[in-house]
Parts: sequence; structure tokens; C-alpha cells
Amino acid sequence: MVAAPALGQGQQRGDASMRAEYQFIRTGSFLSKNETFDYWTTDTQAALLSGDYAINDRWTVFAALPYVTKRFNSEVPWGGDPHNPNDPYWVDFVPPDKRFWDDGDYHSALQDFSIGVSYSVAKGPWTLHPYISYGVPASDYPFFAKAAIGLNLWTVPVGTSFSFVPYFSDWHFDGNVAYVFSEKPLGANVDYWLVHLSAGYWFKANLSVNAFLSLKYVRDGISLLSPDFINDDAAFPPVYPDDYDTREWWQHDRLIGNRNLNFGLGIDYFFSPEWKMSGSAYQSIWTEESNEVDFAFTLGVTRFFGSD
Amino acid sequence: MMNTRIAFLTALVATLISGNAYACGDSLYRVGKGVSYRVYTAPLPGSVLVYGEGEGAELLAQELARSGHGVRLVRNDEELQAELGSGAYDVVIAAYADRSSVVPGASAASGAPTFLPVALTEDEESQARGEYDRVMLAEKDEIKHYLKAIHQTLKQRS
Repeated sequence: MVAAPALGQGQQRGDASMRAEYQFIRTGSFLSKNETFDYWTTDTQAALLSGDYAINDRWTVFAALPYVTKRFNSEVPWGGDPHNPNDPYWVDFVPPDKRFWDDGDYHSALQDFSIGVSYSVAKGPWTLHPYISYGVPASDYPFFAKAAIGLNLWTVPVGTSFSFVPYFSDWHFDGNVAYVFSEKPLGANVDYWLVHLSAGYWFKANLSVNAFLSLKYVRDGISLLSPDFINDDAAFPPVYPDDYDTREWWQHDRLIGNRNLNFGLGIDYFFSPEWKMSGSAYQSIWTEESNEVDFAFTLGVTRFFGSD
Repeated sequence: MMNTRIAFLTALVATLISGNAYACGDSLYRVGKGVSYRVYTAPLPGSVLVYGEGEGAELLAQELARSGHGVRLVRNDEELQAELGSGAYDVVIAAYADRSSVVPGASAASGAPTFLPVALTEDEESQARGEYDRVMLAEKDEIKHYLKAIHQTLKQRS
């Protein structure tokens, strides 16, 4: 008989992959309640190392660690409202973390380490991979800055990825939906949904192009224009930033209900069955209580390892 | 060869971590291997006998096996007759021009394998369509078309 790897074999213990990815993101204005705030731009560059390992034919463990460098693009004297915890307006509340990252230079740190498990289910043209993971800040990076690299909160995403590849077709449809339980800053619920949907087409066995949508949707969270950020003693109308010396404002990025929908195009090319190169480019098409993505792209290399 | 399996099979796992919003500090990371190598799946795996010489026949046999079918490749008439005599196959794929070697053992009796002829030219295809329900055209049909024809045949036989 002719020997060839059959799809029905499923994953095996020891199957693994390693992926290295570079990501660039340029963000622009902040959109809040139909108002647009021109906060200049930020540039983020991230190096993401991730991998997975099949424990058996069903269970897979995975982990990821991003190293992120980010800058706030501004000028001196400052434009675009740099966040400086050393500003003199901090009187009633004084930030305990004095690091100033919005000075126009790149600032770098390890972001959030993630580790999790997924379970594989396949039926006909469908595959399903429910998963749970845990993300924890890998360094104590500041979160009060436009150049902050993250929210410095632990998270527990619970979700599933799924794919549908019609029989005898070159199309493939993939999705990923997760509900992310988040550490509660100042007791506030900032859990959120993450959704990624894509439709792709294999032009060749080793070349696929796809279009995708990705969404982050914080269920609750407050608006940038919320009075919660204003000092109780402030007169009306409040003056920014003088009346914003509150612990809530210091943590405003953690408390705001970010909602953002991106659209992008991606490409995957296998140089060999063991090596794959991927790329994508995307930008925001809908933004609420968040900075819009002017432009972003990713480049990644994946190495596959077999158990045999 | 086995290394290829993982790229085919497990490449659709992906996990979303962190956020994809872009407040002052937040970034999206989609962890996972992303899109897999394309492999067609046979929803009804069957036993297929491929008769032919050369790279094309070998490649066809490999791809059918990769999709989940049990495949045997034979390169001469002697082997073909021996395999046909075994009664172990659902489908026989061979050139339409070789039908005289195949047909006595295929489709002639109940339980015999179904012959799926491959025409080399459009004229040959037209001629073959007068005799067989399904005909493959060598220059045009891809592996997915072969798989679809085999699937339809298997469904018909079951």
C-alpha cells in the first residue's frame, strides 16, 4: 500500500511547533462616545515567541511570551498629552510608580506570559479546540503611559478555536472566540470578549491567503469621559489635567471599556512541511473607547516538529 | 515523511491572548500555528487500486492515501490482474485506454470494484462518458476532483 500521512491519524504525543513573530502597530486617535481625540501616535514593535506540545492525541499545552517595545510619538514641548506621573497636578493622589515612558523614546519590557491547554475534537470537516489559559505579567511594566506595553493585569481566557474545511474544497473558515476573565483593577469588572474570524483560500497546497476580522469587546468598563476619573472636589466644568489627580485616572487604561474591530489580510506559505512563513496586515474599522489602529502588520515563522 | 503530518493536522489551533484594543497600552497576540498545509479529506475512506506508470500515477496514489483512502499502486498488467482477483478494492483508477485490462475484473460482477477511467484527451473523455458515469480528464482534474468522484462512487456502492 502507498504510505502517506492520513488526516484521520490525528495529533500524536510529541507533535509540537515553535513560532517566532514580529509585530508592528501604529495607533492614532482615541475615539470616545462619538468624539475623536487626536493623541498623536504610538509605535509598537513586538517579538512574540510561542509554542505548543501535544501531550497525547487530544490535549495540547501551549505557551507564549512577548517582548514589547513601544514609543509615544510626540514633540518637546509636549503635544498629544503625554502621561507623566511626575506632573505637578498630582496632588490629592500621587502615583506610586514614577516611571515616565512618554518621552518619545522606545521603552521595552517582557509583557504577559501565557500558558494554557487545549483539547482537540474533530468531526467531519469541523475541528474544535476548546482551551483555557492563564496570562500573567512577566515584568512589572508601568501602565500609566501612552507608551505602556500592556495593562499589567492577569487574565484567564476561556475559549475555543474552530475551523471548517468543506470537503473537496480549497476554502477554509477559521474562528476563535474567547471570554477573558481579568484581574479587577480597583474592583471593576473589565472582563472582555475576543473574537477572530477568517476566511481563506488555498491557491496551492502550501499557499493560502485569508481575510480576517478581530474584535476585542469589554463588556463593562467606563468611558474616557466618565466623571469617575474626576476629583470629587473639582468645580464644573472640570479642568484637565488639574482635576484628574485620582487613582481612577492613574488606572484609566485598565478601567476603560476598550472596543475595537480590525480588518486584515493574511498570507501563509509553507517552504516545506516543517517550515512556514506567515504575514498579515490590518487596521481598525470600528473603535470605541480605544485608540484606533492606523496600520499594523505581522511576520512570523513557524517550525513544526513531529513525534516520530 | 511523518513530520508533514503535524503541519497538516494540528495547524489550526490558535489561542487569543491579551487584547486587541489599543488604549494607551494594549496589544493583540494571536498564538497558534494559523493556517495549515492543505490536505483534502476523504469523508468515506475506501480501498483504491491505481494502475499506471510514471510520476503522475505515483503522485495520485500518494495524495489519495494522504486523504485517508487505502491505496495500492500497480504498474503492470500482471500485478493488476492479481489485485483485481483479490476482490479487495472499491475503485480502480486507470487510463481509459487500459479499460480492456481493467474491465473484466472491474464493474463486471456484483462486488467488483468500480472502474474510474482517466481520459487523456477531450475526445477520449467524450467517448468515455458514453460508457461510464464518471470520467476523469488527466489534464484538467485535480486531486479534489478525483476524491469527489471516488466519494460519489463509494456512496453509490454503499
